[in-house]
Amino acid sequence: MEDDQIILLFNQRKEEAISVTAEKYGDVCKKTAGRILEAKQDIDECVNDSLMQLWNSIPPQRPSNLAAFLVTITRNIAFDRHKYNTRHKRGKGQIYLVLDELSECISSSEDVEDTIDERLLVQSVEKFLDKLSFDARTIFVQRYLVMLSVSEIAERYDLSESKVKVTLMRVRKKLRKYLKQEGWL
Amino acid sequence: MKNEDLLKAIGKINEKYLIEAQERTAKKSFTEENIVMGVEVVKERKSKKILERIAAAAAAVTLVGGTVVFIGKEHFTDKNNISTSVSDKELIIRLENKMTETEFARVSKHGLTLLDDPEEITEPETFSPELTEHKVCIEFHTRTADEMLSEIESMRDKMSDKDYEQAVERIKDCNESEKDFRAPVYILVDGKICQHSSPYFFSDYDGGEISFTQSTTITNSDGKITYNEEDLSFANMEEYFDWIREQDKEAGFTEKEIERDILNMTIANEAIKNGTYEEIPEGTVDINDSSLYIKSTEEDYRHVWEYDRESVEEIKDFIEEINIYDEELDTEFLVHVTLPPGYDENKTYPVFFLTDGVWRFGNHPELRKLMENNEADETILVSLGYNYHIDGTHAYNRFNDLVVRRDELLDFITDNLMPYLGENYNIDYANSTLYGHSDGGVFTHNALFKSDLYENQPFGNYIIGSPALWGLYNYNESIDNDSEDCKNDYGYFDRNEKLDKSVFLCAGALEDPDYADKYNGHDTTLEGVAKLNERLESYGADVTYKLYDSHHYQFIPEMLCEVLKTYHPA
Repeated sequence: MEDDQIILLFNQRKEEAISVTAEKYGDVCKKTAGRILEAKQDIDECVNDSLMQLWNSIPPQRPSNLAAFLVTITRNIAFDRHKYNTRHKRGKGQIYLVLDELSECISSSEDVEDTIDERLLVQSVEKFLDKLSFDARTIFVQRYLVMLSVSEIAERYDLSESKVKVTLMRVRKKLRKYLKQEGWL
Repeated sequence: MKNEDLLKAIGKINEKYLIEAQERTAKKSFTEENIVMGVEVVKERKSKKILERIAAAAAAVTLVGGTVVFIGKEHFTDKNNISTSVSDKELIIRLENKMTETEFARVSKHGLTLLDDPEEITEPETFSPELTEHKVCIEFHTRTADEMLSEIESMRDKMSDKDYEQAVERIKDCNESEKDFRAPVYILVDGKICQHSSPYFFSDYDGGEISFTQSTTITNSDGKITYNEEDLSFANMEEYFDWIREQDKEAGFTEKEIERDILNMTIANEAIKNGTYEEIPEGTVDINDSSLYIKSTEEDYRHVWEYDRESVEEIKDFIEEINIYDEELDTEFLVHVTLPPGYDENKTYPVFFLTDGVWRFGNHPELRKLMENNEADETILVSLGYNYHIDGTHAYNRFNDLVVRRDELLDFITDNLMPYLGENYNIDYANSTLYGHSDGGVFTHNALFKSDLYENQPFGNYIIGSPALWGLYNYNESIDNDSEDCKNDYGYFDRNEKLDKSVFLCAGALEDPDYADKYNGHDTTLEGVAKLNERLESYGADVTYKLYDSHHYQFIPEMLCEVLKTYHPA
């Protein structure tokens, strides 16, 4: 079914919308959650929660790209679940690698509890992304939003892994500098 | 902020970014994407070697009965010989300029200023000694009595008892009269800050004796600060000016600057006495703005540039300077571009790019002479140096940018500077050359073997001169140091089967003993280049290896002439 028709079902409050979405995008949601969470039960619950949030969001929202909208919801729910599950534990999965990588942008002395105005931080990150080249921006988004592995990004964009790694390393350096300039660090 | 906060924020960015990333399709390799067949007929100056490289880049070339067919591209030629047929067509490499908005805003291109006298440059053209024609602005600061008291308290340990009591007394007096403190802080005469105060701020000053307490702080070698106070008294304004002259002289002012300072004080005195100054809002003056000072707070390093003045003057009309700033390095560079004799903006020229502009710009006249004498083909000479306020001969600056930050410098040259040059001159990138020596050799080695990580391909030839690869071990390993990787040529041959660039590798046969105390058990310069040559040959790379009968750098001018003639024969 086309995305426009699915969105129409949501708008008409027909529960069929959820099953159709699950059928079409269930695997994508599972993969997204699976990059962050380990337990199958957690992943399944995360997918269900994502579909529920989608149900609650449309209407009033009308996403221009249903897949991107749903992936973002799933990713954020999975991330919250991960934080809840493992405050201090380490484990496998992209989430740990991604967090490790991002800690390069925030040195340990700055890694302290502080009240962050998330809305402003999101705006800052968007401003930063706008300054990046198309290549760097898309690689960054795949790594830190979708949490694809380096090899997955390389394969998807037909690039060498080393090119992806070098790009990410440069972007992290730039991000650290930018966050400093903007007064976040 | 925690890394989790950042990751969470990334999850909430506008969905357009995710859509863009998901819609991005697999890319074709850069050779296919960036090399396009141009239709312009260019001067026939491609050597056979270059033609072979072009043919390899185009990948699918089939010879059919003497006809060259570029498969997949609609370009055909019916000439019988590949070397003549392709020479009529130009494969143009295009570069994408990745400068940021800030960088674009700060780039400027102008004529040669190296020969200018720095003192003449800082002298304003419209300065007039007439007292009435000047603009005096004063920034006053206002503080309440409480604010003043707390400021005085914070300085208590630095004040004499007498000064402290007087200050507190004055504040109390003001408090009783319910007045705020208002004091002149900056006097500007024609936009320049007066470094000394004027006695005319005291309404009862009659032009006679001037007395005040001067406070100075001195930072000792152990980092401790000593506070000094001195009561000064001058019989009249002339004596006060003499004292200012002495102070200025100690601060390194030139005679001209001292007299300008005195004149500004005279102008300020008149304006204050007559009330003919303009009051500017608190916070207007930015004391970090170097343009506000009579004596520039930035040193000018034109004098350290090495070149023959007469030779440069002869060709100065063909030289352009580009001030270009890089955000990643937070550094302002200065690029010298020397155009070849008979430069025609409709023609395409390779670039001969030299690092260490502070020394290598001095080679431009000699290299250009080779073109004039028809010993080398016409080439645009480019050298990269720092702007005149940074000392390019300083070992720290060179090491920091050419070695420690070599990746960032490579980003700058590949994605900013070379594309920018391409927007201003017609450049034949495939035939262009990058040169670096010593620390610069470490840089060109890095640039060559990381060139495959970039889409922009600004150079086809690399000169690696006496690379001080041992220097890679001389700094903190924690700063992302891939010193060991240099022995593996940064993994280039793990990623690629062959090297599609030409390499000129050289050193001075006598140079090793000169730096015997620097190697710390690592390969010497000569051992390093010999091993690099072996590696390059084992991969079948196009490498020329040459040792000159010379120490570390004396052979550079001769070598540059030789390589220019080799890579760009007349």
